[in-house]
Amino acid sequence: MDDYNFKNNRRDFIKFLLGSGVALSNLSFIETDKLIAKKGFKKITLLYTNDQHSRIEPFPENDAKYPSEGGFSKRAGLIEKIRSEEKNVLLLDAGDIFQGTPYFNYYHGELEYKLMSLMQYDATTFGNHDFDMGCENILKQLPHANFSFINCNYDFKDTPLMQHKKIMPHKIFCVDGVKIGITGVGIDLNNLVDSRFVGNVKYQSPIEKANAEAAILKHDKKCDFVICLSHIGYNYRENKISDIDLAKESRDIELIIGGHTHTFLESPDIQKNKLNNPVQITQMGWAGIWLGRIDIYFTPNNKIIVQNNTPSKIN
Amino acid sequence: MPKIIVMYLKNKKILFLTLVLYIVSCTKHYHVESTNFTHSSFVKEPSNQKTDQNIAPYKHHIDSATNSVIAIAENAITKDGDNCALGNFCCDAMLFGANKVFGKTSNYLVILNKGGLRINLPKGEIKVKTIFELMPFENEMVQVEIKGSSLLKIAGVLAEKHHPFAGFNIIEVKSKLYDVTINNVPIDTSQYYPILTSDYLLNGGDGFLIFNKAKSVKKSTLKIRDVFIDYCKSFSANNSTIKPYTDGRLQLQK
Repeated sequence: MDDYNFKNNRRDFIKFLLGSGVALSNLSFIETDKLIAKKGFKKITLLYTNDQHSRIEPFPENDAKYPSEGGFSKRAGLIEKIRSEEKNVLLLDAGDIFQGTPYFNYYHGELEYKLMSLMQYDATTFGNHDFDMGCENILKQLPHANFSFINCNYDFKDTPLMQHKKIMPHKIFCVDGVKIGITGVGIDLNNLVDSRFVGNVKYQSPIEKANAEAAILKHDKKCDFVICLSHIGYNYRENKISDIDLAKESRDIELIIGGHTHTFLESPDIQKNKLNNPVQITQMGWAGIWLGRIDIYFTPNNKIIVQNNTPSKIN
Repeated sequence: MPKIIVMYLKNKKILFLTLVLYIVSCTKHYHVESTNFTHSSFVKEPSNQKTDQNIAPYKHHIDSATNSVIAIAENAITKDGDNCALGNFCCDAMLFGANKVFGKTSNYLVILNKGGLRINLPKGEIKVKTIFELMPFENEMVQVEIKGSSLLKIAGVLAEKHHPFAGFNIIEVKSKLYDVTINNVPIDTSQYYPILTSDYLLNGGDGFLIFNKAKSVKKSTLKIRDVFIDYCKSFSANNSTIKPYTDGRLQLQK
């Protein structure tokens, strides 16, 4: 491993990206982006959240931990701004959209799905709390969701969600000629969700299932980049399958966008997979306080440069 | 073989790990390289008008139903620490509720789960909606009886996971060895004790197994959230305020 130290900032990174021969001295942020496009680079911007927990409004001003932070409206404003700057945006979520404020108790997730559709979310995966009122409720709210629910390790056979067209084990997003493959995994619902509401949902090994889907995405469907939306949790003291285990046991996943443990990861955790390649794990705490952003550059000579940004803290 | 280059990028005191994977291969496969840099810290975005318009009718209804102030807390009531003020507050609320529903007795023990308490309560105004956020679940209060021997078994879990409890003390006498006492008297392993808890834990939620062997289960059909709301209202009714406290009910080896 070689170490590089970019002491300054983005400019050094752009120089690295384009090669040291490129003069950047007087170029603005937007102009350097234009230059990158002109050189044949493709840029895809991933924005993501997890564990939104029905936090439609910002936390109150007198909140002990997050005064005035979060809120769907400010996030929508930020996303709109980023969309005006970036051509290729994928907006993703890692589950637990539901439960946490009276909005869920009174409206059962209707507004959460509506607002996410308005922000043009592309995909989410299921978190345990999304089942807090059962599959019947998810089915009832799905008409409000104009985005996909990607999960490969829940068997919905004999549940109201069986073969629903918005639910799938993987999905490929073709963005600017680049194929982004996405799969998703969820946690064992037993002991987390009231058994009445677990119903007939069957949990299967997230590692086996995600590996199988990622292999399809990478090798059969020739995806350029594979993401796993995960609601199994970042890390545990006890012996429980986590994103770190998933990363280590995987072969074809480049990025895990995680949830469940409400972990605020300021920068991604990088683990080695079975093939000794790096897998990034990221998670944005909870409640929509942070918005994650990763820019992926696809270079003309078939390189991928993943540029991690510090999370936008919504206040 | 892939060549991996790690780059560091420093900006405003923050060191970012930058990982670059450089695959030297002849396949059409992309090489993965990855870097970090600061993009923005706190974002002061204005609200989004269209989103606000969509929220408005829902917010109007929810505010009218849940915006009333039901108590004042002298300090924030948080989950911080081994024995946390929030856990103690919620256990006290359960005792308050049980005395009303199941009849007055001083002998109730309370067991809740820390993960079930979803936010810290703020200093100052506590509204109905604050309690919805603390206890968003529809769980109901139940009373069960469990044997002292079961209580001994669960003590380690309560201690290690800092689950809220009341009516007894847990003292870690040696590493992972716990004494359980009520009013300084060791519990009787053959005796049954009345426990207040939630139907969620009764049914094995959060991995709780001790209630498998519970007897004389009494359901209240009272939501725990409503128990908490009632308890908050009792402070206002007495012109009193909530004074969060911690105590020595859980003593762990340092």
